[in-house]
Formats: sequence, C-alpha cells, structure tokens
Amino acid sequence: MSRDLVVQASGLTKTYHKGDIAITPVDGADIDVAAGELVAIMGPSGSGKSTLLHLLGGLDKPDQGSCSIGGTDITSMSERQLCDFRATNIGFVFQVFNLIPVLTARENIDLPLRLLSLSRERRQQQTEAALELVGLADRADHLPAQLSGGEEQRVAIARALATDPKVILADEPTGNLDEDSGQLVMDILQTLTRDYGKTIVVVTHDSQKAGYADRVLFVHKGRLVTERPGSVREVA
Amino acid sequence: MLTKMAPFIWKNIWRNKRRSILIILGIAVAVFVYAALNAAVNGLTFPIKGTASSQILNVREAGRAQVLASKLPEIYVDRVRAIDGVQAAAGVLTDIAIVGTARVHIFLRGVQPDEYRLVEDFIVDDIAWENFRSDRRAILIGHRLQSQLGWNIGDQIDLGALGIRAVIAGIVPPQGVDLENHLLIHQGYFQNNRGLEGQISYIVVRPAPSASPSELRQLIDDAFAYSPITTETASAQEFAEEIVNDFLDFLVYLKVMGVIAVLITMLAAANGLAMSVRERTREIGMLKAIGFTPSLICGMVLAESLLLAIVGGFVGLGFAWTIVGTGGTAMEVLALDRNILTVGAALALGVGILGGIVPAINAARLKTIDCLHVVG
Repeated sequence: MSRDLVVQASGLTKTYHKGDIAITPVDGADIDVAAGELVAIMGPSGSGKSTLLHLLGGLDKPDQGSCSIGGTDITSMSERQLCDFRATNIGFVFQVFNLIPVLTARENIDLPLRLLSLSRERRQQQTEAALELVGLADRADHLPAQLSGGEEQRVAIARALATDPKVILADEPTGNLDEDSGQLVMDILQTLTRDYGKTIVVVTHDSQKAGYADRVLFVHKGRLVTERPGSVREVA
Repeated sequence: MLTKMAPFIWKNIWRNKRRSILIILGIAVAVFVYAALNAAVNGLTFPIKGTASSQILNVREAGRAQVLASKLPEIYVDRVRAIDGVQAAAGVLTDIAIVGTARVHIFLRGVQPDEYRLVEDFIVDDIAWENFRSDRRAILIGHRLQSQLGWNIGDQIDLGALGIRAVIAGIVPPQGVDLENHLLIHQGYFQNNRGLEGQISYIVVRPAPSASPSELRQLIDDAFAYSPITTETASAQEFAEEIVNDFLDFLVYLKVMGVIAVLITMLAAANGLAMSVRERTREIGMLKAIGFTPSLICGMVLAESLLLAIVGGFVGLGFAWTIVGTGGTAMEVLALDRNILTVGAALALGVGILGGIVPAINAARLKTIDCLHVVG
C-alpha cells in the first residue's frame, strides 16, 4: 500500500463542557489515511467516531493535536480559510443526505462546483461525470423528494466527489438506508477507491458495512483502540 | 461569487411560496400606503404652495391657528395700503367647499378683482377677465377644478353649502401664479351670502420693489399692535404652508400611520426571513461544510431579502402609479412625483436590508457543527 498520506492526525483531543461536566469524545486520537484507501471508523454510539470525523474535516476545532489534509495543517486555519479549504479538498457525505430540496440532483451536485473558478462547461462535465459514477444520469433532473433514500445518498456522494477532493468523509452514509440501498452505497464507495483511487473515510457502527473498507479502526471512549484489515474487499 | 449563486437564491425564495408572497405583499402594501399618502399630501399641498410666493406677504389675525378662523376688518386693507413700502394690498375672504362624490376640495377666495390683480400674477385672457370683473356672480377657477369636476366656462355652479350660485367666467391656466383648485369669487357677493359684510380673512400684500419684505412684515404688525385685532404677517409661502398645516394636519397622522405600516412590514419581513433561516439551519451547516463561507451565506440571505423587497416595492409602487394614472377624477388630487417614487423604492430597499440583515448575520454566525446536529 502506498504511504502517500492524505490524512494525518495526531493527538486529536476534543472536550465539550455541559455545565460542570466535561465530556471528551475524542481523546488523543492518531490516524493516518493513505491515498486511495477506504478506511472505516467503527464504534458504539457515543464513542466519538463522528466527532473524530468532524475534526478531520475541519468542521470542528480540536483542543489539542493536529490534523493535516494533503499535507496542509488545518488546525490553525480560520473559519474562512477552512471553508475555502473544504471547498476544494474535502467532500462530505452525511447520514441524512442534506440535499437542497428545491434543487434537482444535477443542481445539487453543481452547487459546490459553483464555488470554484470553473467554466460552465467544465462544471457541467464534472457534474455529469459524478452522476455517471453513482449511476444516476437518468435521474439528474429529479428533485430530492422524487428520489428514493438510496438515490438521495448517491446524489450526496456525487456532490462530494464532483469537486475531486483529496478525501471524502462519510458520516454513517448508510444509517438511514435499507439494507439493499446501504450495500449499494458501500459498493459505490468501494468502487471509488478501488477503480478511481479516491480516498474515503467512513464512520459506521455497522460491522458488515465496515467490511467494505481496506482498514477498520475501532474507537472506544475517544481513543482508537484496535485496527484490522477489512474483509469483504479481500473476499471480493 | 454571489451572482453565481443567483439561481439558488431565486429558488430559495420560492421554497415557501406562501410566506414569500406574504412578505412581498406586506412590503407592497407598505410602499403603496407610503406612496399614496404622500401623493395625497402632495396633491393637496402643492396647489396651495404653488400659488404662493416668498415675496408676497399675507396679513392675518394674530394668534389664529387656522386661517379660516382669522377675521380682519375690511378697513385694515386701506391701512395696510398706506404703510410705506407697500405697493399694493388686497383683502381676501376665504372658505373651503367640498364638492361631489369625489369630495374635491375647493379653496374659495373672495376678492375685489381689480385690487387682487395688483397683488397676484395669475394669467387669464382679457375676455374672461372682463366677464369676471363686470359680473358680481362670476367666478374664475383654477385649471384643476376643470379637470377634476369637468367645469367649463359658462357653466353655472351651485355651492349649496355656502349658499353660492355663480357662473364660470374663465379658467386660470397653470402658467403664472397657478390657482390649481382655487376659485376666485367677488368679495362683496361672497360676504353677502355668508353674512360677513365688512369682514375678510387675510390681506395679500405686494411689497414695493425697493422694500424689504422682512422689514415690511414688522412694519405692518407694528401698525396694528395697539388695535383691537392685532395682526401676524408672513410671506405667502409661509402662509400657504401654515394653511396646509392647519387644514391638513390629519395627513400628518396618516403619514405616521404609513410609517408604522412600513415598520410593521419590516418586522414581519424580518421575522419571515428569520423563520426561513431557522428552518434551514442544518442546510446552512451543510453549505458551510462543502465550502460556503460565512460572508457568502450572509450575502445570500441578504440577497433573498432584497429581492423580496424589490419585487414588493415594484408591486406597491406600480399599484400606486396605476391608481394615480387611471383612477379618474377621484384620484386627481394625488400627485405621485419622482421624489415619492424614489423614496418609495428606497423604503422598499431599506425594508429589504434592515429586515434581512439580522437573519443574514445570524446565518453567517451559525457554527457549522451545531447546524449539522440540528434535528429535522
């Protein structure tokens, strides 16, 4: 496996305060993700896996530790710098899809591309390519309400990869989907790494879905406790 | 960057059609109320102000808040005329009549024709003038009364409430001193019908070219300082404005109501936008996650607000314009000028900016991670 690291985080720590109570969902986590890897972060509810993903994506700031994406340290960036950085370097997929209901699938995918200095033709090419990759070219002009949950999540994946980011961070992408749709989404994520060299970090509590990953990291009480290679891919 | 998001902003506006339409209608009504009220004030005050000159002086009874309540003895005219620096003076007995279902306001001026012509530079053709001065039941009318009431030369009019029947001898055009919706009637005839013999309301004074109007004002008031009825002299312009203020005070209240309507609309628009932002909290979090900066988010929300305001302002002003333009006689009194349109448009934009700025800043300040944790 290439050791060209896309994600490098060390000693990440995040503490929240609720009144007098301090909660530390991420406590000194170290994580490296190589280019082209599909890494799953697993753990029980409340173990801090989503918080860890948010720290990796610059959605939240760590109290301690550092995080680099593609060799750029994001921990010291301002909110504005983080927004600009995320626009070109990080793609997000959320559990609840978060598509804009008044925009069609195509328009939703085009949205992050509008932040970049691309010509209209280039944006169209990248949007169509992303739609093709997730197999939704024929549903491009449908509104989210006209799509199934699985299709909505595939649009969300297309939106995340349309800008060709260095890494895609997916937070429980199959959490709101039925079994078949969930497997289809994981198949797409796996294809994106295997055939297109994308780097993806997936948070899941489902061991079967985690099996699609090259590596599975287990989180317990904010710490990465064990690591094992994925299984499905090896079988496949 | 904001222009690239224009299609997205436009679709956001129509996300909740009912709310957006209500906001637009609210702004439209507020702008319409503002424009219509100011047009009415314009319509009613301009004819009075338009007739007034800053050189001409008016003398009325001191301490009378309303010009209709001013009573001066007719003999004061001769005393004023005798004051050094007065070129000409004419007494005027005034009253107001409201005519027709359109409730057109007519300002009557009872004057002695030859005297009055020496103080006011209105234009009227020789035949009309001769007919007016030779017949004590003849009247001259401002051109607005012709257009508002359809009156024409030769018509006999009946101002029943004032007990006046008169024949229109001529129409005074807008050139020169514009009589607008004023009417000139023989003072003697007017006094007889009203039972006000020997009484006038005020005196119009034309200062001599060498005289200083401000000094002359003082001289006139000093001349009557020890008389049973003291006087208060002001320029015709000031006088006209006082008449406006006296008679049209209620319009000020209407204007205040208009301002209140605009403020309420602004609050409603702001609340509507704030609701719209609250409903989209998670979405805003997603937008920030994929790279939308706080300033872009702020700009987008503000742009939504401004677009709603522009549409609302356009509808409101368009409606006001349509009514003034096609409302017929009843709306002749309205005067919707460029100034009102400009201020109305600025008002709509102000509502858009002030109504949208707080929700926009709040949206920009939302923490990405907090937005994404919002349920629903």
